Amino acid sequence: MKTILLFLLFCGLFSIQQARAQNGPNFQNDTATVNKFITAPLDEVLDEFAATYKIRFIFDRAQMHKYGVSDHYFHDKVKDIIRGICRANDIYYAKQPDGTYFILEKPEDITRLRRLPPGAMKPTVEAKVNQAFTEEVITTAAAARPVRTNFALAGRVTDNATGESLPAASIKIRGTNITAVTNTDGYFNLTNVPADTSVLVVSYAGYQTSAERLTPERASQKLVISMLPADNALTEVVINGEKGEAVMNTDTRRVSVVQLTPAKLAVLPNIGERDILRAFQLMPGISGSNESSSGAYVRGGTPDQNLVLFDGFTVYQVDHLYGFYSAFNVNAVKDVQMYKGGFSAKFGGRLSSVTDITGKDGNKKTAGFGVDLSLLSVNIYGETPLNDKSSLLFSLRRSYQGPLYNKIFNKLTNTTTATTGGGGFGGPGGRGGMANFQTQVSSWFYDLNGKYTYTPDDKNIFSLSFYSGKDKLDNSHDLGIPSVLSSSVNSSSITDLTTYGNVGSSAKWSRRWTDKLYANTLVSYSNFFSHRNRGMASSITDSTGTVVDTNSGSAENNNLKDLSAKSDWELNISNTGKILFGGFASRQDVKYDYTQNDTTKLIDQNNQALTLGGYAELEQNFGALRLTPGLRYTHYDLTNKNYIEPRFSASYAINDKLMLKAATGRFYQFTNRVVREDILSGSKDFWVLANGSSIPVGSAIHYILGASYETNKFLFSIEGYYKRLSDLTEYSLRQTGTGGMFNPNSTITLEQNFYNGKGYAKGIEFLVQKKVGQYTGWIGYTLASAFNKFDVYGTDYFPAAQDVRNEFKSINLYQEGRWTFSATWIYASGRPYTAPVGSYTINRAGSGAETYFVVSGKNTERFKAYHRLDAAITYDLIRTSTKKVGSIGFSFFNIYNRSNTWYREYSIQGNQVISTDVNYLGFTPNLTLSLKW
Amino acid sequence: MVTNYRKIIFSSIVLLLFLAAACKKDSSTADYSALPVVEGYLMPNKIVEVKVSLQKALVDTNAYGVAVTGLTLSISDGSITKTLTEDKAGHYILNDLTFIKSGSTYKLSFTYNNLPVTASTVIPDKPSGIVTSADTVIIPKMTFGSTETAFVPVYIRWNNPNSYNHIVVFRYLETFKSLISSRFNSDTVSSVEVNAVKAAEFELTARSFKYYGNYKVIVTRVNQEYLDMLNNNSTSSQNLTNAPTNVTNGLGIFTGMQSDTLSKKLLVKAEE
Repeated sequence: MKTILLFLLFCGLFSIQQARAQNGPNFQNDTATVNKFITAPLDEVLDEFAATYKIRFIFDRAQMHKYGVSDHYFHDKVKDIIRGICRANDIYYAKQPDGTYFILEKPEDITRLRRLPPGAMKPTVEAKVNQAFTEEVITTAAAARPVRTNFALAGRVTDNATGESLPAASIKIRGTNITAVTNTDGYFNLTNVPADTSVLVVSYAGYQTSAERLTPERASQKLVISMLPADNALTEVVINGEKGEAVMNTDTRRVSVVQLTPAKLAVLPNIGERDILRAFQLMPGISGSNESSSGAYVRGGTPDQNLVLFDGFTVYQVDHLYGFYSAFNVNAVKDVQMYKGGFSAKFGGRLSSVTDITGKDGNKKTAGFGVDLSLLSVNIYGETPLNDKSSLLFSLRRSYQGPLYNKIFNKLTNTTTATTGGGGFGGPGGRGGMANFQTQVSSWFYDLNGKYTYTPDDKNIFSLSFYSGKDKLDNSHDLGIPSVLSSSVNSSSITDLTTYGNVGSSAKWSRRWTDKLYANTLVSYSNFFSHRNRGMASSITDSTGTVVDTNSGSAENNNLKDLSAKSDWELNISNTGKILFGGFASRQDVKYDYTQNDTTKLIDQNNQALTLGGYAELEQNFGALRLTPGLRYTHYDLTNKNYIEPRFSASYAINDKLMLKAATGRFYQFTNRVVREDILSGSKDFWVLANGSSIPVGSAIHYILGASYETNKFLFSIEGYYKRLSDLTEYSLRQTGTGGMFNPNSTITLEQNFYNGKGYAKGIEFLVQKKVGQYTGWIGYTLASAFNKFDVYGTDYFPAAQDVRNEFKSINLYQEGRWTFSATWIYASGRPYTAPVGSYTINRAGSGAETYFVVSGKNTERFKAYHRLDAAITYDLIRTSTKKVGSIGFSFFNIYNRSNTWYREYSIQGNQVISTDVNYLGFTPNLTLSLKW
Repeated sequence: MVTNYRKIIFSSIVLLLFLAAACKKDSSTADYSALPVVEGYLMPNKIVEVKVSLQKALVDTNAYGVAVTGLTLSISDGSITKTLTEDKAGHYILNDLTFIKSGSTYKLSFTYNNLPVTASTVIPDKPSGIVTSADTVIIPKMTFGSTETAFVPVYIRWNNPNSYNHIVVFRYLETFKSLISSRFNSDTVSSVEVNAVKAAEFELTARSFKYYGNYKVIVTRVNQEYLDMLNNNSTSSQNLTNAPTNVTNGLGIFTGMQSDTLSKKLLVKAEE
């Protein structure tokens, strides 16, 4: 392990060295002092500075020539002079990490200046630059008179460097409320564009906001807007032009949508991996105090009420290592949208929320590959254009059993080991004593992503996406063999092996039929599997060498296969409205069996369900008002019923800053995930299909009301929600039989109980976000409650396990050149739990006695408040060409080592009830090195 | 003026949302902590015994809760109601061997803390046809260097065409205990109770017993409520629940059962 660490460190240092070396001649001489009187046009001044102080300036000569400098400088630093000149003339400058200065009349000019070929940037060929700009200035100037007004504009947004389409980028016509959002393939349609000389402002997280003036020619063609990835230098700039995009964005036009670009994730603190779903936990409304689950507890919902789509297919296993890490490799993800509620009719099948993940297509321009090393895993990815029409991407991540992996693994397994309960291992020996003989066996997780994209023309895109993720968690132990027996007994061991994962694939065809009609059709397959094998095995060898094996134990198997097809269409019906419609069909096959001693099948279920349906949604603008009514229809064949889900959302822009929003809708859920928190008692989770009787089809109604106020620098947002849930299902598996799983006398039957109930959740979320500048970040506060009522626990509502009253989050990012510092602080009121108030002992009729806990009520107690501080430092490795080649990150989780309670275990020792707190992770540092070529 | 109008809208939304999110007080369900613990097994031809005790506090080191004395317990079979007498503290008996009959329903009732505590149960029929496949269970010797003799399983069988629930009790009859293996000796209970559920046989394995010696084999037909009570495996705050009980306004068990005993003893001995 030490060698790996050393190697890692070595690689890191080496690459810093390299990055430095590649900077070539030192341009950063802007601290030299100037002692003279200058009077000249600005372009000449810059030329002189460039020659004298070896500073590279990039500017538009025609523009700069207009400004004059006339001043006497006494021991003034060059950088101060530049700042002074820019201030005096009301122009902007941007200093790059390599020392290059961009001198700009308007902030958005940087995009234009950067798009020049690298050769044009050399000061020696400044004349060429000049020419290029002169031309452009002329074309723009000639476009002053609009040719068309009030027309619809279609286009596409892509990444300038890789050619990847950018989904969910926002396009706005400057000075109006006319906005659009790109779809999965980067296409957008703007309606009611006032003139073909309007300025389009395109923004996307992790990219420089681009502002482009339309020309009548461009407006009549297929418009492709290519965006430049943001680099840290931009925030250093004195620019206060267009609004920037932060690591997390709230789309003010849509209700309850949070968007994340994985490119910016590296700067946030982590527990070992840059994690998409963890990042969402920093936003208000998504609980951040469930360390053991990277799943999303959205607005009082449970993770299984959150639909997770990856390139269109449903992912049923969204995490690794008992939930500590999400299953999605950041390097393979382009964009993630989370709908916290009141979502579009396009999505369905879950009660609470939707996480829509779009995978990267792969670089369409140049091949590249990269590697990330952390204390937890190795992550390799590569992307390459295959020809000018297709590209390929793959990424592979595998954990290694380093200290961090072991820390988390032991956290989850040892704690439950100590307090088995239920007499599980009561028979032979008691488990505590076995720990002495424990041998660590290998546990790991991996995930693999692959995507092939073929774009034959500008109308069609074909893509094939593949995902496979698996965890193998082996908590097996070898038992100590007494020395007198060691000659005959080879081994005696407890097996505790869990494997689970998800394999999924989708084939998608997107086509833009006309400027007004866009469709994407996909077929997908997703397979979730979970195996849990526990038992005792012993192997005895006799003198003749014959090995006799004996086995006892149980195995659980859950396998879900989901074969789906869907087709989503988008039609622009007029200048002001569009219709989304589509159909879907899905066949799910769920198997669950529980086998005892290799032979007896205690539970053997196999259910199939066919879900068919369609939806339609209208998005209509009436000036500042946008109404989006929708309807979703589903036929579920297990209940043989039809489910109609009306949805509605509206937004009203009072002006270009203040927005009012509302949404409501009905939601149904047909598949439920059963979660057993006690890992020792069986599979952690498995999926079951609603059958209309013991497992009813869950339903929810959402009401959401909100407002946001967005300036160029700040976003203020407030949203309130009320959610009513009915036909919820809770599952319990009871063992009937004495002893326990490993007691040889036991004759076990299993009793499955499905408890049904209802619930409600309500809350209010506040968000203040600073989006641009050296310092960015946000403060989120949520006041919420979630209550359930299950007849089995009584007639009253009780706090749901995920009920957290107050949650406060403060996320702070500070950039200084290549360094990024971040700190996040999370405070959450304690979650509810059930505690015993007493105990009693009953003698059995035959022999022995049983002791029971007396519980006063479900979830009546509260844990102490949860809080923790995390921090991270990231250093970017950047080349002369301003291209980022990697980063080194140090992350510190739970800095002040707060003991946050996860759950409490009760056991009886000496007739007393002893409670033990099982805590979440303490202080955990991590180191991540990312490199790309 | 425009700003004012905006401000009003914004603040009224804030206010509205706050109102909507106003919390309701947590309300808990029935208070379990004050309920008495009942333990009563009714069998024909046995005197009726019912124990009533208090729950134990969490830090109480006593094995059982404090006895509840001075109660008036009565048991009714639907027509006749009999009152139990307290022979020891918290131990109530009815010295009548004929009161409990197969197939009858019995209702226990008493008042505790001004709450009526009731429970009712049916006496199942007597099991029949108990046989063993062998009278002796031979535990193979742990061998060194040669193949261990295979264990010959011994079956206890009984008639159970209607799939009633049964437990099988092996009552240890020896005065001086003789341990089979010192390896797994954490449990010092010498008699064994096993849950045979709805089966008509029980297979004894080499590890069924901890002690050598003679055992009395008793097959008891039990009600579902008895098995339900045994199903308790929650020890974590994440899944803690009250154990199932058939006592209203109380905890514990009040259930009927009926046994039959194998005429011969079962001998568990070591391989010669």
